[in-house]
Amino acid sequence: MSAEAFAMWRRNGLVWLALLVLLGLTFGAAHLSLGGFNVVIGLAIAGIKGALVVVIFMGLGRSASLIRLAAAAGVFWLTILFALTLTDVMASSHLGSARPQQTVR
Amino acid sequence: MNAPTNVLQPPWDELSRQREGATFGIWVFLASELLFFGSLLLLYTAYRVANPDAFIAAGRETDLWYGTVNTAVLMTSSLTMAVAAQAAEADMRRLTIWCLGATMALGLMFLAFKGFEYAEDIEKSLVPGTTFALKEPAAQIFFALYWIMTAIHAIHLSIGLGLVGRLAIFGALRHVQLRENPQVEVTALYWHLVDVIWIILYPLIYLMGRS
Repeated sequence: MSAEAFAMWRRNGLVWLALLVLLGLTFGAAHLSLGGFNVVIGLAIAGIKGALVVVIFMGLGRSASLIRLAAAAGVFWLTILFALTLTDVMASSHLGSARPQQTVR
Repeated sequence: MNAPTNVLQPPWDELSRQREGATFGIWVFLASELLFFGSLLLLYTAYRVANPDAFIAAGRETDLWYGTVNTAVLMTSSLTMAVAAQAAEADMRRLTIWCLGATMALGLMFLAFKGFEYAEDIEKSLVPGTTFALKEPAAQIFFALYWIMTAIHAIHLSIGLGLVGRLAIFGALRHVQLRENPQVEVTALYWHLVDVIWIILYPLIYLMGRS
C-alpha cells in the first residue's frame, strides 16, 4: 500500500472507529434504566454520529460557504417545521384538543 | 476498448465550475431529502408524544440485533465510500474501484439483513391490520411508521446501489473516467446521507424499551 493510500485509510478509519465506539455506547446506554433520558442519550449520540459523517465523510467541514448555506437551509426549514408543529402538539396535550371547540350560547 | 467519455459536459467551460455546480446541486437535493425524511420523523414524534407507552411497547418488538448489525454495516460502507471518493480525487483508480465494489457489497449485505428482518416481522404478525400481534392500537401506528420509514430508506439505498454499481462497473471497464469526475462526489454524498438517515432512525426504532 502506498503511503498516500495508508494515510487515506488512517484518516477515514479513525472516524469509522469513532462511529463504532459511539454505536457501542448508544447500544449499552439503551439497556440502562434512565427513564426519559434514554431517548435523549440515543438522539444525542445519533446527532454526534451524523455530524461526524456530514462534517468529515461528506466534507462539509472544508466546503465552500455556498455549500454550507445549502446544508444549513435544510436544517433551518426542518427546525421551523418541527417547532411550529410541535408547539401545536404539545399545547394540545396540555390544554386539550386543537380541534374547534363547541361554543356555548 | 471504448475510450472514457469526457468528464466535462455542457454547459460548463471549465471542470472546476462543473464540479462546484454538481456539488451545490446535490447538497440542495440532500437538504430537500432531509425535509422529506424530517416530515416522517415529525409524524413519529407527534404520535410518540401522544402515545409514549404504546410506542415503547411496540419498539421492544423490533429486532435489536438486525438493527445494530445493519447500523455497523452501513457505517462501514460510508468508510469505503469516503475512501473511494478521495482515491478518485488522488487518481488512484484501482483503490477507487475496489472501494466502490466494497461499498456495493456492504449495501447489498444491509438489504439482505433487512429482508431477513422483514420476514421475521411478518412471522411475528407485526404488520398493521386485523391480525396485528399487539393489543395497544397506537402500537400499530408505530409499526406503520416503521414499515414506511425503513422501506423508503431501503428504496433510497437501492438507488444508491445503482449509482455506485454504475461507477464501479463503468469505471472498471474504462467507460467512465473516475478521476476528478463530479459523478463520484455526487454519488458519495448521496450515499453518506442515506447512512445519516439510518443513524437517526436507529435509536428511534430499535433502542426503545430495552432497559
